[in-house]
Amino acid sequence: MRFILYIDPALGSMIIQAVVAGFAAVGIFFISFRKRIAAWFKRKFKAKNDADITSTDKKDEGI
Amino acid sequence: MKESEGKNSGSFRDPSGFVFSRDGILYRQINRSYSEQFKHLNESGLYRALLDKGWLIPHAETAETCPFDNGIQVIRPERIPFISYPYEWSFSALKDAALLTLRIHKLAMDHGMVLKDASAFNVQFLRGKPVFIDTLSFDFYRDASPWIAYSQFCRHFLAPLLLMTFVDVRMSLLTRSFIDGIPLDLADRILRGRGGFFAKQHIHWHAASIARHADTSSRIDAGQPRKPIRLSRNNHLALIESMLLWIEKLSFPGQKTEWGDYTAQTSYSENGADSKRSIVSDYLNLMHPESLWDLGSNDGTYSLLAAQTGTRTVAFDADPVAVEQCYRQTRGKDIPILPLLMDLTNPSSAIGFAGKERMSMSERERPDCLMMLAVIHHMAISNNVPFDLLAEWLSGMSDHLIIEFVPKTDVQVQRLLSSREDIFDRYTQEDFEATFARYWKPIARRAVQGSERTIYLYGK
Repeated sequence: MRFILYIDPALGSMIIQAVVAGFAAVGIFFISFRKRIAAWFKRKFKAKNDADITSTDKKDEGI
Repeated sequence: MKESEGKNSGSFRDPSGFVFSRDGILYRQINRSYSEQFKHLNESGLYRALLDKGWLIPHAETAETCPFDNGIQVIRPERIPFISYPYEWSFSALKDAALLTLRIHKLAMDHGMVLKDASAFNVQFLRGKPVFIDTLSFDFYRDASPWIAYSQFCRHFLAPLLLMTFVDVRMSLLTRSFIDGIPLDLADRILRGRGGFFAKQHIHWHAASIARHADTSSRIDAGQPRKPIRLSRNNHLALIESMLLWIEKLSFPGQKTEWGDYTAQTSYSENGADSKRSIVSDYLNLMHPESLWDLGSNDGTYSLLAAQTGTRTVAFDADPVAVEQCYRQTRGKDIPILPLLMDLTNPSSAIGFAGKERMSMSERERPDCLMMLAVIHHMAISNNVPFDLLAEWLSGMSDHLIIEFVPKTDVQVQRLLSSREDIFDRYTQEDFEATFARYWKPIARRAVQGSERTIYLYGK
């Protein structure tokens, strides 16, 4: 397998890319963590709501 | 290569292949050195995925012979009717092109490939959408390798976008002087700390790191082996994802330029605007041009009249705010209109190696019709361009012309003359008609109701 490298990637650019990518990885991790927490609360809230609605429905039906 | 064939003068940097024309048709030769990559592009499903998303220009495989013996195949890409360059794009157009480049790189990584270059010249605009035109920009992804085009991406996209956002929207014109993107040290000096942590990382630290390691390259030349820089796939993808998120958040700076709010403050009454629209529509219906250049289009109101009836229209204006408005109005709407930033008193010239790499404005196409509405006073009075020179310049570009004459008594001309001495004795309707008649054949003339303006239709 041959690679075609016709633009100069520049060593300084490669080094900073590795550093910046590290920051990005941490940032993306926190963003996805925040999203997961938000989704968990949303699910929890939805489940609680659904349970409340079901019990109200049951009361309405005289059960 | 035969005489009837011409190698595209902007297609020489990449050893993977090149663009050439044969009997007026545009082709791309794929060189032997790129055969494995080209095969993988197709077999991995990447080419199909890119086409499904409308991100890459489609091509047909042909049985044409290669002009040079290092070729293995000739493909015929779909032709872009009008080539435009980054220094002519609006802020949002450049932003869309940047996002497209990153998304393509990300999709390529899902298929074991990467973009080996990130030049803004690899993106063109077609019916309100950016499209990637360089089919040979894909290379294999090497495990734990950094993105070799990262520096180029920063120069071609990030630097101009950040300068436009945090300094001045006219900063995009710097890319006309620096054909391989704005040098990061220069961008850093102009930004002077503006742009937040995003600019700090990709411009400030980046420029400093390039400067610090510039000497290291000479030590490598002296025979010292270099340890390869490694970047895990996860971090690589995080870098791309974070750049996508940051760029998506960049918004057009809220500055207003002289003519940016033209539509709201135009001197026309409602009746006058209707009359002008009706005259322009009638002239267009008379000619049914396939292509039209609207010179001085402002926010594209009249360009849209043509484009909505199927006429392929390029809307040129010197005001970045107006061009931005036109782009936003038509973005993604599948209308054949291309809004471009162009100062008619200094239109894009041919630039690059041998002055041939990027075409001048007039080299790119000969449109069926030109339209120049409410511009003549800016040319003749603000910029001292004589009628004679203007009529000659326009007559060299097309066979039809719709042009509006704005007399000295008009409020807009009075505004221009309010701050300078009136040395324009020959700026009269009679002189305009006599001069233009030397280069053009008058077909029709109609007065715009509720104003003293006249719109002419000329032919050859």
